[in-house]
Amino acid sequence: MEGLLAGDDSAIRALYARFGRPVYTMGLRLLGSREAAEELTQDVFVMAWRKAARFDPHRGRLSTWLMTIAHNLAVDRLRRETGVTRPKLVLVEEMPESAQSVDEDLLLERDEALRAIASLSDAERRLIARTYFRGMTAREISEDDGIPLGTVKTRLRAALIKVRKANAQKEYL
Amino acid sequence: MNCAGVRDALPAFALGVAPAPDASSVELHVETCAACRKEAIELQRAVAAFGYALAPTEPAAPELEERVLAAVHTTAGDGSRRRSRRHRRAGVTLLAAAILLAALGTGAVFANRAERLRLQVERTALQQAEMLSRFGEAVSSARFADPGADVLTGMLRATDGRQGTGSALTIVSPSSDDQAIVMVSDLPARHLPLTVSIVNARGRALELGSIRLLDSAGGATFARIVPDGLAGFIDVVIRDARGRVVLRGDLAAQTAVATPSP
Repeated sequence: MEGLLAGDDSAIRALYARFGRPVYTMGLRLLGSREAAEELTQDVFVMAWRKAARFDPHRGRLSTWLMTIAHNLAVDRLRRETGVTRPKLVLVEEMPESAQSVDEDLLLERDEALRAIASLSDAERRLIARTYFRGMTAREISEDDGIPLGTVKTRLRAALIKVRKANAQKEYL
Repeated sequence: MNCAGVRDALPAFALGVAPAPDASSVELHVETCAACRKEAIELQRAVAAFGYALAPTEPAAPELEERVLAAVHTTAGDGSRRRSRRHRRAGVTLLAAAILLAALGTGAVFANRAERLRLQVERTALQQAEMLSRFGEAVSSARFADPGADVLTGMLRATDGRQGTGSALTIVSPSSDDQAIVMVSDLPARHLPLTVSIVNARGRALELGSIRLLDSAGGATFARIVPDGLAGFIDVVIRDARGRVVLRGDLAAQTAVATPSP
């Protein structure tokens, strides 16, 4: 094990260099504090290492796999916390731009992602925001809005398909 | 859960808000159902876009990287996972493969369809070959690598004037599961599913699995852990749905290819 341990540093550092920033950003945006974002970032990389044996490049890109881990952990944490500590609902277009320079690849990723999300209607964007950014389940949305559960699921699927089609050229590594 | 139930649960699953029993059922189902797995991958890719759409924040504290390293080390040192060391090691190498491919600056090869379409087929093939060669070197020299492992790489060429190119790499290890990584590009979707196999000098063929999805440029990356071993298997063969050979190539030891440092 010590050989594996000793050797893992370069791989962890490479993974962190490529994905540390977007994971931390997701933590900050979803969880609302620097401390929580840092904890999430640590948890994500630990989880990635734990699940490394299950990673199959044939079944999905590395970025999708890692961002899925990050989002699932963030949502788990959101749902464990009370409404008081949850951050306000923040829609993508309301997020403040940072004056900090960022990695060019990340900017390109973001540009393509924003273009894909632009294909959604306002209602679809709000629906996605409530699940993705607040961790609300389809059932909770159904009860809040007084609409059938099946309708919420259908709308979620339609929104995701739209984004995927708009982003079809994008093949995240 | 049947396919209809899984399809119903997939959007919430992809968004990370499926109830735990649903999430477990979906995970179990997509292991064996290619159609539902395809849909799950598509939806997860859509969801990944939301993460990248977030406006950049201020950078994380510089010491966070060291804390991440320390946290992973602490976890990796947990004796409870020793039982699966062999399997983990193979998985770790596959994960590292993906990381290294990213770190080697090959993102442009995968990342953008418009960019890909501008690349000529030959150039793509050369890039693939170079990338796999560099990857092979990285695997051989990385500290996590098994020092006794052999890394073999080679180009795959279309047969009988057919369309397509590819590259392949195998890692043959005396102490852990062997692994094979195959990358193809410029293949027409009508060939799907593609069967990937590898043949040894005595003509024994080992079927590694199949490629069921191609991206918009006819490309795919295929990776498999091969517990039975790949020693002596050097002839990689990709067949189309009708069993015709579409790509083929021999692998050679990575160490035999002297690549001067830039």
